[in-house]
Amino acid sequence: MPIEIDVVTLAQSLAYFIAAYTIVTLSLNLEAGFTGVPNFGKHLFVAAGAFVVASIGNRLSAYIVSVLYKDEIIKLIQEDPLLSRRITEEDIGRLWSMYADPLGNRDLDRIMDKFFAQNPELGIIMFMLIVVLAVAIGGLMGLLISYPALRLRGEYLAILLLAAAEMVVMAIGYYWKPLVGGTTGLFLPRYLAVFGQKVILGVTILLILTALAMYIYAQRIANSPAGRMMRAVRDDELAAASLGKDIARVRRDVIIISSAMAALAGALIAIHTGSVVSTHYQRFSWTFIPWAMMIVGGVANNSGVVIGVALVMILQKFVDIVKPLLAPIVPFDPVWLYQIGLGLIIILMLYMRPQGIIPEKPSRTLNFEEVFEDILEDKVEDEQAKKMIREGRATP
Amino acid sequence: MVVNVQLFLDTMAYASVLGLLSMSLTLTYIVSRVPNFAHATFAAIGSYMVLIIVWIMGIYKTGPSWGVYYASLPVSFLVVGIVALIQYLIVLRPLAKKGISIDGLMIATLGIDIILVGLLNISADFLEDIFQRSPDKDLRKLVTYPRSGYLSSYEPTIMGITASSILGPLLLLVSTIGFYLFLTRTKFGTAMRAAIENPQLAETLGINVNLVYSVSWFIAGGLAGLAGVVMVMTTKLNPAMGWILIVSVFAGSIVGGLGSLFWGAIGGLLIGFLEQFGVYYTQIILGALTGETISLGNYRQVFSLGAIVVMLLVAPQGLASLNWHRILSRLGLKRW
Amino acid sequence: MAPILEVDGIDAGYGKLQILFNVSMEVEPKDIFVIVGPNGSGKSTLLKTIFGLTKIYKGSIKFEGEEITGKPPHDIAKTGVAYLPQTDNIFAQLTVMENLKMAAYTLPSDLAEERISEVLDRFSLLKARLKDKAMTLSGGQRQILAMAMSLIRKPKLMLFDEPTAALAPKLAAEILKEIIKLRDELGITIILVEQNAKKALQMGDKALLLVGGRVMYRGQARELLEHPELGTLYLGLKK
Ligand SMILES: Nc1ncnc2c1ncn2[C@@H]1O[C@H](COP(=O)(O)OP(=O)(O)OP(=O)(O)O)[C@@H](O)[C@H]1O
Ligand SMILES: [Mg+2]
Repeated sequence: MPIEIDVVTLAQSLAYFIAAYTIVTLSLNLEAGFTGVPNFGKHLFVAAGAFVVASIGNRLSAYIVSVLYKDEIIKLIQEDPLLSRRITEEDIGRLWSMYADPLGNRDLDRIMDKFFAQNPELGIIMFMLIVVLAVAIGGLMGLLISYPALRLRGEYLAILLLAAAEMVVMAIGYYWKPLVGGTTGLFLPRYLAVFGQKVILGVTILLILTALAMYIYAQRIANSPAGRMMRAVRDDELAAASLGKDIARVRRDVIIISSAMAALAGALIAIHTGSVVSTHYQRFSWTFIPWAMMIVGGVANNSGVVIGVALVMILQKFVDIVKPLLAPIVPFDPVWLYQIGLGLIIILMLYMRPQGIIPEKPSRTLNFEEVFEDILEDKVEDEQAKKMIREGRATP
Repeated sequence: MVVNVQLFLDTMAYASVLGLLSMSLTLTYIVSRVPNFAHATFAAIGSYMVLIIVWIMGIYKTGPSWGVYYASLPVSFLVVGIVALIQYLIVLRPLAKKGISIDGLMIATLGIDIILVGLLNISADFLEDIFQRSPDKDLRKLVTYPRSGYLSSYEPTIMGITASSILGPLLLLVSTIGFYLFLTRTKFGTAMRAAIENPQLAETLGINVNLVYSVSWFIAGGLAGLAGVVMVMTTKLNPAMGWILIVSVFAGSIVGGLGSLFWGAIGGLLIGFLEQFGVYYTQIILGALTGETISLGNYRQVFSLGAIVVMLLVAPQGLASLNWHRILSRLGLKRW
Repeated sequence: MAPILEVDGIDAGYGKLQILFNVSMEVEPKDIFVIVGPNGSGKSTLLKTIFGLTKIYKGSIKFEGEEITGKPPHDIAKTGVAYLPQTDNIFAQLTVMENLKMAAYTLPSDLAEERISEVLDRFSLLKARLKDKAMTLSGGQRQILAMAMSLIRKPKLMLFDEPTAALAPKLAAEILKEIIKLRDELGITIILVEQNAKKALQMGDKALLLVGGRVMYRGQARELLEHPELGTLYLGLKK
């Protein structure tokens, strides 16, 4: 049986997945690779971005639109035979609350799509507003977890983050319909009507640009004195203790920024897909796979991460392609083989090449003196004072 | 309605499942110093054994039978014990020997979890296939079971009480006491405690530390398998059923302090009761406030997460670390 | 008489970190052989190396003429060597009796019982504490327990790493007296690492001074004690 491959669609979907995973995995690498925070609940932060878009974003845009553009909406509904049958005039005042049930969600979605098609610039504004909101909430959640992250031992932190993520995604996300419609999910308005039919391409490009920006940011962190400090702290308890508060602040900032980044990715993924279903934000997709990518590529190494992302995604696409070939032969869904294979790859990688394909450059892991020098250069202006501090005659 | 007997009985089964799981998770943690993220999926494997027994032994035809337990308990113990042993021997031990960091070991257990869930999914597909094609009409009815079966319809009752409500606590009690006797009264059990406390010294005394650790993992897996048999009587069968359950299991272990088996069992029990009764009373209170019937059973893990957070903030070493003599005498409960 | 232990040109350390450089020594049967040196000079590392607990890059170690270089600790233990580490030399969570039973782990049960009662006769203070957890013992009692545990297997050579560390002077003297008795009454060869260089050199036959992982002096213990420079330079001995 020949397999047909639509090269353009394949390339576009590959680009989308690689960009999305690059953002998430780079943010994971900042936390786990550089600051030593084992985030086993990464899917919570990706889900947070998507959930904000679906629950707050949907309601907010419905509310704003139905209040500010009431007349236009009424006209829209009257023109549409399907909608006019189901939605009365008094419904308009409470349009935003219709997102709770699946049918209301569909109707509302239809209205919003039409509205944004007529007012694309408003769509862009709403889009930006909602994405900023998602990022802000992601950042706030980062701030929240930075409190335990700076105090708990690694294992406890990993357990706590995983438990929090499973609780939010698998309990509340699955069963509390008002949030994102439970396991049936919610549709999102097409905010980016500007792109016309090319919405998916447009969002993919946005994701790629974000991934690039994230890469540059991660590289800057990695090569800054702060980044070197963090690695020293990760590897050396003594350094951590003596650097104290300074480093705690840097680590907190990194956690906030990586959480915000994951939420941004989640928001863009949701908008790319046009819907949010809580079951899409599981541990396997957004915690395990990013960890796998990081370990395959190289922990604490940004270019390694990108390579890891690309390799795992290409593997996934390959499995997608051969799946129809395998399906008639084996009496089960071949997708499980991909999961099992990924689990095996992680374990084999840890065993045979724990440093990843591209190891962290050893020359960059600094010893305490060099870090100390960095801080001196950073903090103390006066040459004379530097000399005194170095010789131990004064304290910074 | 302050006490609800049926709820109490249901909770007994669920809480003993958590007790068994938190205790055995604690055992693997004491031995290997890594939280095993695959532990709840161990129990899920045990649950699938029950379905297989129901099928192979023809219980689906005959209806409720003690055979569900006679056959499932030893089979689950053995199968899951072997799975745990394999995880220790061919994954965790070699990785730990290579000096892989704790983060690396944790992600390896997460990888094992993914693999096991993948294998359960494959088995579920297989079973569905077999049931669907079967000429046996009764067996064809089982076709939905591998992904969402309630197996409690096959367990017997004792004076109107479902067997799991009695068997669960009994299993927990027997394994806790049995384990205690094994650890304190047998030479091998003593060697186990010795090897866990100071593997280097134990090694120099000629104790085969690796054997001791392997046995610990086997027993831990076996206990998780037993838990799975009881668990499937209280919940729906699904390959990923461990993914949310692990929250409660960790909560139990953390409440117990991750350092003592006895306290692990207590922690699991407490979490079971906290979740069930927490949900129950919240439902009553919210129901009274809103005037509607509210069902919160799906959110029980909220209480577990709360317990983890509170415990880590207040007593990160768990209940085991508290000075019980002082607490009891403060409360006037201990006059001797 | 042939030496019971021969260490020949050993380079050893932890992973890639080399601590010992070309260390050689010979221990005669029934001697008390004392190893002294400043903190961090590698004394503990040398004992661990003999017992197979470090990485050996070069050189050889022979016990009773047989090569034991690179053997795992439990094999070396079987040949008749006992090692008492500086810390963690007992199971604190186990009772005294359980500790002794673990020390007799590989022996058949009747022999184990016999040996346990033998060492209990020797260290009768343990008898009253058999059911107590070892962590409730005092520092000196713990050392005695550790000694009792190694004696159960009737070793020919015992390696002591600072058995008197953190003990009051009177207790320390008692422990050292016990060690001398082990040699005198049971004919066990002793290698002793000691902080208190003066006491150790007084009771020792031969001695070795380790500085920075290298042998600075090897010979009669008494000579090192009376050496005009080495003692004051490295061991804080007064002239
Ligand atoms: N397990 C180990 N891994 C790496 N290095 C070690 C280890 N144990 C000791 N060292 C290093 O080896 C060197 C020698 O240590 P050792 O314990 O042998 O000294 P010592 O002479 O016994 O000192 P002390 O008198 O303080 O007991 C030290 O620099 C120490 O830091
Ligand atoms: Mg020492």
